[in-house]
Amino acid sequence: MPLTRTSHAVWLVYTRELRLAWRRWGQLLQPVVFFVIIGALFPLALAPEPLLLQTLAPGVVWVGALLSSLLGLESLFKMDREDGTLEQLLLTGQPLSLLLLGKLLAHWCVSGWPLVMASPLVGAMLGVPAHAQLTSMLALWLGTGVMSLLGGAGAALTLAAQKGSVLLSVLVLPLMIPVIIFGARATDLAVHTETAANAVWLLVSLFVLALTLAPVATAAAVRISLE
Amino acid sequence: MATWVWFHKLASPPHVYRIAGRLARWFAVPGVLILILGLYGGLITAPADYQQGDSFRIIYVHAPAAWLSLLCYATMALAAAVGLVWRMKVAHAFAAATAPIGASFALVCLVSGSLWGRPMWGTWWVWDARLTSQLVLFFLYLGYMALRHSFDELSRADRASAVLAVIGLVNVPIIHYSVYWWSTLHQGSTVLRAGGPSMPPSMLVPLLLCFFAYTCCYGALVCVRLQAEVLNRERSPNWLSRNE
Amino acid sequence: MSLAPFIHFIQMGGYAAYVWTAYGLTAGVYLWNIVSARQSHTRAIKRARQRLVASAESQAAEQP
Repeated sequence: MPLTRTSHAVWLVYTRELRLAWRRWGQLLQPVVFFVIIGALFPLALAPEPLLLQTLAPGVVWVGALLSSLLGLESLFKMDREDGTLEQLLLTGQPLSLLLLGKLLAHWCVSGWPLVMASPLVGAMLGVPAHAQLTSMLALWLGTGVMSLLGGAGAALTLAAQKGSVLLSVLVLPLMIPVIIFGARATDLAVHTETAANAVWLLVSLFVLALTLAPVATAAAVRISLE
Repeated sequence: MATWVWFHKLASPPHVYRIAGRLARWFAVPGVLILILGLYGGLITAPADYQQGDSFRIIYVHAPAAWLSLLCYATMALAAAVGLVWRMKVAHAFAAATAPIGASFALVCLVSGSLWGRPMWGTWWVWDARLTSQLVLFFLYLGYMALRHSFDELSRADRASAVLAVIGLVNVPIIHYSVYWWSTLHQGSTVLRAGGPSMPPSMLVPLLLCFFAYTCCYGALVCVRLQAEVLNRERSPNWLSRNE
Repeated sequence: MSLAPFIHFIQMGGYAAYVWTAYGLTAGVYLWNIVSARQSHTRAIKRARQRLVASAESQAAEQP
């Protein structure tokens, strides 16, 4: 089935992001290492008491993942704006929101999926039992998707702003609250061997909502910043 | 169509400036009067709550502040959306005018809620569903105002913060639902409620008066700020009269 | 006239600190809103007049 021009363009943007990220793979590891260090710091900061850690584990895993994914957000658009790629995307004539969707999804693959892969390690350090890991990873996979999508919209908004990366965190964190609440709940249910289906479905709906809205908002923000 | 004339007139800055000037007075006088009436009823006429004693009287400043913070966010986001879609500077001016008012009342709600909860639960902060979602709303306001101030150019600040406001508006129901869901999981019903399951009229009527009064006062305040914001967005306002 | 009911009112059943702080804060925020709104209006008028004067001067300079 031949790809349409638009979907081909989106695919090109997506693969370009992956290729560029692969060349800077050291930078990719930073969020993962940050995440693992957070997981190691909490037992040190509290107490190596298994029950305490297990109670805190869902919260620590999710907040850690959120903060780690925030690390990679700022540079999402910076380089492209500096070398003019962003303007080229605007000029292609393809729908900017779809092209940016490719970029956001690539960011998810590059920063979110490694976090999901690292989450069993962080979970194990906090006493998350093995049977809960798979559900937790699924929830985190969806959650990091929402983080990349909404965070990307925030990054586009702060692109034109003259001052501040603290601004990005202030903008993005309130929007992430539902993800944290439902995601940590999913992990918590899994840890206590209860079915996490409801929480996971809520995460799915958040993901779908972000998938439809974030590209539009990001495109609007990019247009504003490029004038 | 003649019915749309009033809408298109609203796009005219001098027109809006004049109307806002007049409306400010029309809102301020009833607002202050009804506020005095409502607070008199709340502080003096209403009987003390059987459970919370006189501390429940904080509700007369707390609940209307919560209502105002939500009302301001909704009108701010709607005005921002209108400004984005129809490219009306006046709409952006309205959004800019509403934001500090809403943020200040969100702060009042948080602090007064904290003061209400302290004698009841012994701690200064309670992760009550309403207080928590009010806290999130306050952060949303801070983010909006911070984004606004990080742009040097006013029109860009308007449009970028408008996008943020619309994103926030879509998220506010989701955030509120998720916070309520979260609080029902972890707490019983530690809801700041006075008068038991239903409030007697002697308590309820002053509360309703305060809601109405706060809204009128908001109308007056936003009109004054709107005049300032409209002026800021005019390159050369020749229509500005001499006696301002 | 005895002061007892007045003192009872001020004491707010023992919750005086909480109730009056909350009301005081509300009054403060109202005051801030009023003052800040009027200040921003005055400043906006001042800046607008300056812009008008500046544009009138530049227009006069353009004409020979």
